[in-house]
Amino acid sequence: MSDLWEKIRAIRQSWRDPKRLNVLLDEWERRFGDAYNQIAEELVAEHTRSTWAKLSSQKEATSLDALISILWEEWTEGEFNIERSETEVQIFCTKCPIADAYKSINKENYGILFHCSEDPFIVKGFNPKIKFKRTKTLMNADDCCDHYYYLE
Amino acid sequence: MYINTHLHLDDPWLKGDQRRQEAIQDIDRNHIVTFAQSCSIESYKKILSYSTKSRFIFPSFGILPWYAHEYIDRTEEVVDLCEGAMMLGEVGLDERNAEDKACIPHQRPLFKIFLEAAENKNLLMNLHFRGTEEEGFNLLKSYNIKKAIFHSYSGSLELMDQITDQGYFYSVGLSSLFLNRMKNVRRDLFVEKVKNIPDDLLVLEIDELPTIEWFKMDFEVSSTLFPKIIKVIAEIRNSTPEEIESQCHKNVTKLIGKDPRLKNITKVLK
Repeated sequence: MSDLWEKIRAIRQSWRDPKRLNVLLDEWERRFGDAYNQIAEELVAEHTRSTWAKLSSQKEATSLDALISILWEEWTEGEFNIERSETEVQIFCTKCPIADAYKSINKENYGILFHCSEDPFIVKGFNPKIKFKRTKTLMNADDCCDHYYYLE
Repeated sequence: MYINTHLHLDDPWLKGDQRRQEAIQDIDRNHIVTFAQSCSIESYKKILSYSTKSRFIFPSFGILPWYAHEYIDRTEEVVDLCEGAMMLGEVGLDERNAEDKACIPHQRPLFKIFLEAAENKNLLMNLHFRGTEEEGFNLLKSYNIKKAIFHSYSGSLELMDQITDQGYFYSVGLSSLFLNRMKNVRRDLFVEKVKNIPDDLLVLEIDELPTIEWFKMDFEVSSTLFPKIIKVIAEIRNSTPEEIESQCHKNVTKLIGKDPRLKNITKVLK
């Protein structure tokens, strides 16, 4: 395994400890620099896609309801509300501890890179027929994350 | 434990995702420490992705000299990627086998970028020289390169003495399975070179997993190829497969040393 992937995993797992997260992100900048940011985004995307494809297959679930249930309803650390119909689900998330962690160390750009960038690939992996849109993110200093899932 | 210091896992060397998946699973299941080589920036990105699938796959960043002309305007990107790389390869000089001769004037400037990075960060280099061994060797010395593997060495026996004095390593592998396909002179020279490698500078490689497309052979994975390769090399060197495997393990351990960039390799080397 490359030390690049090892570092990405460590960063992604450290949001509960902003001090450690800050140290890891400083190390990331020193060791890899900007040239590796796009690569990291691609690796996170591929990892997320394959992880959620596996999960969907294990649970034998591909419906929009199943996705929302696993992704949102089982998540207890954020604050959000869900508006749903048969073919679409709108989430408004107004508190996210991951965004709070990155904001507390003024490194929101890395929050987007290592966390928020994965959201479209969760959906692609789980069921490519489900589509995803988002126009606002807390990490980007918006008032909420407006995740929108729909069936074409 | 098998240690493969030079393998290509991406296309066109290994055609098709199914074979690739099989190759990666084989590496992972059989704990085959594998230095995965790249030949372009795009190839490096793929190799990085494959390296997330097994803790035994270690990505190496390189651009084959054949593609040097495609990087005239991307030198900054190459420099930046070298900064974060674990090791460098496959890099070097090769005018003989370059299909597109447009690459030739750009090979040396590109190779010097890799040499500078290796010198500054003390990076391990996996080298491809074809007909340019002496020039390549002199460049390595002039840049004070400490850790280098001559992949499938194709230079003279005389130059081997100087390379050996410098402590650079030689990787041999798949070609040993094609002795019966070689003409007599070429076969004799190959055997002489394999015999001429000092015990403490020999490491193993596969380079490309054989396929019908490349070698007119059925596809085979590393775990079944290695015993065959080691057996032939042991016969040539008047040794035993166990001794060859053990010696190569020692040599890779020495080559890696305490390089912090290669600490994940040290972790999996038993």
